[in-house]
Amino acid sequence: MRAGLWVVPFVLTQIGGGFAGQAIDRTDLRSGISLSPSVVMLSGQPGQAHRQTLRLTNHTSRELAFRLEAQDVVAEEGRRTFLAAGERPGSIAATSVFSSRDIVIAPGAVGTVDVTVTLPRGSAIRGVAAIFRGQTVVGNERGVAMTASLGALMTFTLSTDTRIEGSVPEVSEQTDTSNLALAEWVTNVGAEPVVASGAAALLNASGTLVGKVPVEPQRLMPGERLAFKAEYPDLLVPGRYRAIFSLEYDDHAHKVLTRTVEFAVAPDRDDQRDADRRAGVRR
Amino acid sequence: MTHEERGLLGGLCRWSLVVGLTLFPARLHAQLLSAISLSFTSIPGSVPLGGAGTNSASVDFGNVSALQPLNGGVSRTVGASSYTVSTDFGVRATKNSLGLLSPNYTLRARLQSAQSLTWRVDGTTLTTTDAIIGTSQPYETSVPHSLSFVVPFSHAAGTVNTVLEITAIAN
Repeated sequence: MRAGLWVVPFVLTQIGGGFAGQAIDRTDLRSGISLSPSVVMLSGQPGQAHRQTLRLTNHTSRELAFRLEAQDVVAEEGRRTFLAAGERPGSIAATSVFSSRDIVIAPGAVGTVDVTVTLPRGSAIRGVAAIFRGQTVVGNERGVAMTASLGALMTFTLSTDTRIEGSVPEVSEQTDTSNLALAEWVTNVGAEPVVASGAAALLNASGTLVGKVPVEPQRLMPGERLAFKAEYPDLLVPGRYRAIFSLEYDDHAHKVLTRTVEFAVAPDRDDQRDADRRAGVRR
Repeated sequence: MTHEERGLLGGLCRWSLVVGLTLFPARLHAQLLSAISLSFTSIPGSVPLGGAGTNSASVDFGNVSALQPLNGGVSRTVGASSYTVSTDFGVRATKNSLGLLSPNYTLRARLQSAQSLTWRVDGTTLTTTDAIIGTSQPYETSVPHSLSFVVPFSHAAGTVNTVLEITAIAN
């Protein structure tokens, strides 16, 4: 019954996202190589398998070769890292089966590879990267040759344990050359991946809303810690302010993490000198 | 089709369904599809890349030594027992309009084969294992990265070739 409750909304979402996502937006992706999809968010239960079709487009005039590889995506000491298949118990990458390990793509053509992954029961891993490793090297007769590889991220949500914690926002004062900036360090302390985004609202001393700036979305794997930042584009007049930093996450439970910080914007020296002169203060 | 044939066909269908459900008991549900692209770009003031704008580029440092003049775009620092030669290259990753939930990407680098000289990207020493160069790299902009190698004074003169693999993974 619980699975049924999950299935209905995700099936609907998959239809809309799936058909649209198969077509690459060529206006943005005409150079080098492109991979679609680049992000796949999955939900389900342990033991389930998923087959994903990955399409790599060769936008160049050369034939390109790639080798497929899967790596687990985890966080270690708050930082996202990629582990070889089987390096950690419960490895999803170790279950990966590619329809071809190697692929050669003609100029202007699209190479298609299916990857099937299975979620091991009891695994704490919630992400796997499917990577097309570039094998074609051009022009290294003298110097350095660089070849590009691309990876798609697949994330897995198996429970409702989505939780994040945030630090008190840090305030970077506005200067002649920089805007006022806010930064909050957020840690995913739950068991599932989270995409969080939101806004920072600025209130003046009387509680009036002065401004609101968006906080760009970021994905946090379990255990990952990232700084969410917001920059206020206008000059704030001297005075006391309160910043309310709100992050929304979990599309289904609609959770919100809110942190506040108070700060003051001091008058710059010229303003202070003028104010002092008007008040008859001598320094 | 006879009654027996229909029964046999029906049985096969049922068995196929059972086998299918055993292999994929309940398909996980994908939510979002998007796309990412990658190309190398030249950085003004640095060595122009061969193959700029594509996924296979090259950097020609020219002749390098501890004391002789260097090609344009190449810089050098000389230490007590070695000198380091460097230049910048750009990585440009883009996403399509459907990639709203890939806010940025992770950039990694590695050498495709072991080298006698020490190679670094953005100060990170490279090996044949991927090293993370940047964790939250922005899309739609050419991000400059420094590429350097360290030459001990004792290193014999000769050609230096290496292949660098740069990987972008959507976050």
